[in-house]
Amino acid sequence: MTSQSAKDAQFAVRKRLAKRIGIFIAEISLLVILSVISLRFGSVRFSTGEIINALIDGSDSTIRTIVVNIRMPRTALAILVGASLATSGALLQAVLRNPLASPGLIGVISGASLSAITIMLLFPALTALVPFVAFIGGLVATLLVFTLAWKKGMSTIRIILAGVAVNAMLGGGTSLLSVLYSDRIQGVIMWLNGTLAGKSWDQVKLLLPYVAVGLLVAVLSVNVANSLQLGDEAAKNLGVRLNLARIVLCSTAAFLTGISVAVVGIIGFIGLIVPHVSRLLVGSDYRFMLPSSAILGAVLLVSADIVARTVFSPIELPVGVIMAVLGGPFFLYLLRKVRGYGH
Amino acid sequence: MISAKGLSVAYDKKNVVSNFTMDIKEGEIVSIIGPNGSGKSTLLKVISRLMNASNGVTYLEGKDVHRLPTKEVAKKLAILGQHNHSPSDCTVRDLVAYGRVPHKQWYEFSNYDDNSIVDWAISVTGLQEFEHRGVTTLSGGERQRAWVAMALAQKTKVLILDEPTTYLDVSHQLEVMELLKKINEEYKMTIIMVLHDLNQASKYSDRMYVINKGNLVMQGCPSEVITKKMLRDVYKIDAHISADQVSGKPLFFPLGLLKNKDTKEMKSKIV
Repeated sequence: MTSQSAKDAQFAVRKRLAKRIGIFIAEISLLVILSVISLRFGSVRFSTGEIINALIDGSDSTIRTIVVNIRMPRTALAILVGASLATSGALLQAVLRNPLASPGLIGVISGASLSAITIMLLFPALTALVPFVAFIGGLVATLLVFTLAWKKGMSTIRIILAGVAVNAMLGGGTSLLSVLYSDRIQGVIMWLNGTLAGKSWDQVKLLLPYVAVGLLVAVLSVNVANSLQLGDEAAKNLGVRLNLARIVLCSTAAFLTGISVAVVGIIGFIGLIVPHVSRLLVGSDYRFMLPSSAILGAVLLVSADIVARTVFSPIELPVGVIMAVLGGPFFLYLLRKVRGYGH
Repeated sequence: MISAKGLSVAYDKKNVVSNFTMDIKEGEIVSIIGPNGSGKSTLLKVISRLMNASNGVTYLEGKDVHRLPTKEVAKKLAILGQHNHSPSDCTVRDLVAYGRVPHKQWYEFSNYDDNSIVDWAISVTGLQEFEHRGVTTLSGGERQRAWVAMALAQKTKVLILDEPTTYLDVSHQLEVMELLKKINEEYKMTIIMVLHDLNQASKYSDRMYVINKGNLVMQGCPSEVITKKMLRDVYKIDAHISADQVSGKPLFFPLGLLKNKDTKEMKSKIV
């Protein structure tokens, strides 16, 4: 190798690293800015100065109450849920090696929906139990998908097909209940479309430890996720225990989604789109792609929530709807713009 | 180095490989040949622990390969499959660096040693100028060399390849075969591969195993294996056999398919 091409090569490596670091800084800055905006906007608007003053000397107790007790937990929740859903999608895309893989595919969302709806429509008195029941329902459905997919090991295509079948059955159940109890469906619609309205620090405290554990496992499995991208046999050749890796990564994904859905209802789209956006920005190396997905998931949900509660204020829109309406076109734009993606 | 004793593999109770036994010494180049569907690839997968056998044991340096921790096996044996995928933005260097995965704990980053091993694998395979190109943008031959480089970075004693030259034009085929020969000679790597091109197998192998319908038909050095009789019995073709002027190894030239009558006669003889 001539010294000139060696220098070029060195330059190419540094340039890619610099680009990735730059994107990380941009993503984190964006998250910080959006979080501040999320604290400022709502039915009443405050300036950043007012918020800082209220937080430091507590002079204005109204502002302090609104910001600390309503907007802060809501923003924190958006960050946790967005990060969880996006990470979950990124893990599943690695395990299933399918661009359409998303948390919805392995049954966790349809399972959570059916169990939550059953409680809300048939046993409205037990509505307080919805998060717990939805979480369990999601995990049971995921377990069902895994069991059906298991036949001397777990192939990715069987997970996908079993997931599709289980989703169809559970979705049928959900539709049936909605038709039979159409008079009570009103209260369920918000949950089915996901909402961060009326959430407090209690939900944040509930979510935080689980999300922390889930994200930690996800971060520790980046090398395995990377190896899985080379295909089953290549991964096995590199010493990856395939079935174990699939079970651990899928369960982590199901867990992160299940706990999020349990608290805020169904927010689709993040788990499917954010990993792709992240891959477009930083590449498919999970050491960069996974953290970037988590940050972008948080960014997307915080911004969707800002829109959801401000455009038709005082009416709040379900955040899942905003996500689909604004996120879809944005993703299509990226898909058209970035060269060489989607081959 | 690697030996197999009484290996059988069954899919849905139908034997794909039956009672296969082989013994491969350190530093050998061994090819496994046989018609399509004869069980060659299955055999490779079993001896490299990608698949389980229904019967029999494969020993790697005297230990049952299916009982060793898979990561330990990955430090001793590398297998390159027929179909390989890499992410679209994966560069040659990224791919080769994957070869270091078995040597790392999950919390470890690649260090100076890993980088120099990756450099070494890239230079052995002559890929320096493509180091920062995407693997998917390379030609078939270059891509195959990149995957071989990844296997080299694993720093194993054994390299197993499933049809490494299929889909390549003839000059790239030779390039890959010469590369394997060089690796074998300079780094004493034991190479086991499935090949379809019998003349290449003959030219580059120390020994060959012939497998047909899951059974070991014969094994030995190329001049023992590439015979008119073997080509008739196993491949059902009539062929002319001559010797390579340089290496003295047998070369065959197909004359045509055996006619049905011949085949029937032959079968009746065997029966």
